[in-house]
Amino acid sequence: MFEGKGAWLLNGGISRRIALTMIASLLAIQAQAFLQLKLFSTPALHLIGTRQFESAAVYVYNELFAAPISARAQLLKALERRFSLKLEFDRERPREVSLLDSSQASHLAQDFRARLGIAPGGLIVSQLERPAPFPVPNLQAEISPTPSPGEPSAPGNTEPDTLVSPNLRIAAQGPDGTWLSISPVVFDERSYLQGPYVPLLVGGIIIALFSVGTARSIVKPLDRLVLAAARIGRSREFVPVSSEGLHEFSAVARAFEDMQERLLRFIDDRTQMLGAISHDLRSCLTRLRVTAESRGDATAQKILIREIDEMSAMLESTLAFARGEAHRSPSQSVDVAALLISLVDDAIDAGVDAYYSGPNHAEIRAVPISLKRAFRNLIDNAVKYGGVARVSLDMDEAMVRIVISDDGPGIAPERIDEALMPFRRLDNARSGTIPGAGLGLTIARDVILSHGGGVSLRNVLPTGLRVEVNLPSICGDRREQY
Amino acid sequence: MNRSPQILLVDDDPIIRSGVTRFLSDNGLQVTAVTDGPSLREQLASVQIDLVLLDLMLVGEDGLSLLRFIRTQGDTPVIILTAMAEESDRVVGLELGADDYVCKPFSLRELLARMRVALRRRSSSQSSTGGHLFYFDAWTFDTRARNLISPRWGHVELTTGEFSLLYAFVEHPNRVLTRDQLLDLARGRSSFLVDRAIDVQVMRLRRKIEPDPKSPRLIKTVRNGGYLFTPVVTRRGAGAQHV
Repeated sequence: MFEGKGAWLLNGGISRRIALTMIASLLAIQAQAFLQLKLFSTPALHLIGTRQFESAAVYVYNELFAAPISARAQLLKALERRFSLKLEFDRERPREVSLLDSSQASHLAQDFRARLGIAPGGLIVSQLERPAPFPVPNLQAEISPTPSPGEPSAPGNTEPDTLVSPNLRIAAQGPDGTWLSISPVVFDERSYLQGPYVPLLVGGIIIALFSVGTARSIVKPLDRLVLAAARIGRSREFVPVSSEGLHEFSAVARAFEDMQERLLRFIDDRTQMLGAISHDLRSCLTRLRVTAESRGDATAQKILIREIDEMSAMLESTLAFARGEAHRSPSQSVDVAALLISLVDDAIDAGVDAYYSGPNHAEIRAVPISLKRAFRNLIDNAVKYGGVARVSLDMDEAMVRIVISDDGPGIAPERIDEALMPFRRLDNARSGTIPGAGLGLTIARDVILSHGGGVSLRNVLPTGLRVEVNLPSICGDRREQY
Repeated sequence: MNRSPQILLVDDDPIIRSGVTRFLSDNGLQVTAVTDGPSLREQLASVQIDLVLLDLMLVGEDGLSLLRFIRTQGDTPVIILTAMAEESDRVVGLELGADDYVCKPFSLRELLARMRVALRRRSSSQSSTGGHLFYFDAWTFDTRARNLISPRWGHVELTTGEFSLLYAFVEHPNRVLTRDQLLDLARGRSSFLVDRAIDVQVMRLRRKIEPDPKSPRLIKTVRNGGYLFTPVVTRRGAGAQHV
């Protein structure tokens, strides 16, 4: 809720953010109160003019006593609602409770007797001593009632009207002897109940929403920071850490990026050095090899050449690692099944145990040279440490899954992560005296990760290591393009 | 080849020069070793050279520009000596018209085998149409980049043996080739194709290029004869301009 172009206002800092939140919620509550008043107001106070009350009372009296007894209860309810009156039938003559000497009451009593034609004993006008729920402002205030059509009004009276006291009660005896008491309903209890709770609830919800929004917007960059930090070091790419949002976080993000830059520069320096050394070493090796092959006795030649080949292989893998070549060459569509079959056939021709099972063709997008190196490393490892390389391939619409398993001692579960690190040779049962630079798995993993795939290592029973490689298949790739 | 082939080696490393010279001389080749561009030009002008071994990393004028120069002079076969790391150089070298490459540190035996192939191809290509790109049945076979491209599966990897065998097939389409002929043709191209019977190689190659390897359409078996490569082969490529 704080994203977007106007977010600059909120990018200041936590203190500014909180202050703005409070102001915003205050404004929101005010707006809500205003809307409540404007749209849903039910006036709590019914101020009735004496003249209007009188007319209403006369009308109600006539209507009720004209109606049959069976219909009176229903009619009574309807009239109560229509005129905001409190109406009650009573068989007994109501007790006169603290009749006050009120000019309004006696004036009304006279009027009623005249208009209803009731005997003096049949009408009681009383002003009950009941505390008003709130002070009624200026009972003498002039009002001009606007009776709706069909509503009786007192014609011809030009005297200034006065407000009816909320404590007024008129009890009039009807022609059938039943008493009807009429009093104005000044205070609407329904609106009293609705009134204060609804704004409170809505206000609470508004504040809650703002608070959650603020908390989220504060925590969100932190989440991004955590995600970015988790990615640093997984690949050799620079991971941009988002620096949007609060300046406290921007500082952290900048620190992260600086740290990354230093790390990458450090790695770059080292790989460059590695490359330079490897290059020089290769020149030496070439000289050695040429010399060994062109002279000397056959036995010495054989040993020398084998050692030189081993060193060359180590150098080549070091260089490949230093170059990170997977990031350079353009990818093309490659038949990964044919690639694996070729590697397995090469291994068979070299006299080792290797098998392939799976389809003859499987197209993916890849850099052929890099992919070949990765799988050659994995197969070489299986042969070197496990005596056999069983390669299998299966594919579905999204993934091509390649499994390379061997019969070797496997890798201790707690050292599997370590096995993927560069120059890490797990000097235990698995390696023994097997030569190598300790880069095979690292390069394989680098290449496969750069192809958008994944590698996982797992020990299998009774003995052996199972390397599973997942690569996105070309179908998935095409779906992404369109 | 009546006289022993005349080889020109260009490398600035004295130990490599002497080692290679010694090995090649022992194997019946005439070798002249030089260190740089000027002496290469001098040699090319004065002596009939059958093949140039060219190191790409030279002091002074580099190997690629020397290669360009050699190509302006004629179609003398050139094998470039290069380091694995300089892959782009290798590609550029092949594009500039080098016949082959070996990677440092190279095996002298392998170098010799490749030289023999280059020499033989050059002598036989006097009559052939030349070119390094072969097209058959929608496949593209680039013998220079050692690349086989399928319209359906993309880059299809070949082992060295399969490569040599396919090379033999595309150069002799629609001709029954006996196992001995195939072995001879393929072996000349690679020192690796040795013990494996030709039948195994053919089976492997069918698995790569046949839509249905069980009922082969491209490589047919001829009873008591050998194998027949059936598709129409078109040959194109830069190699043709030198012929």
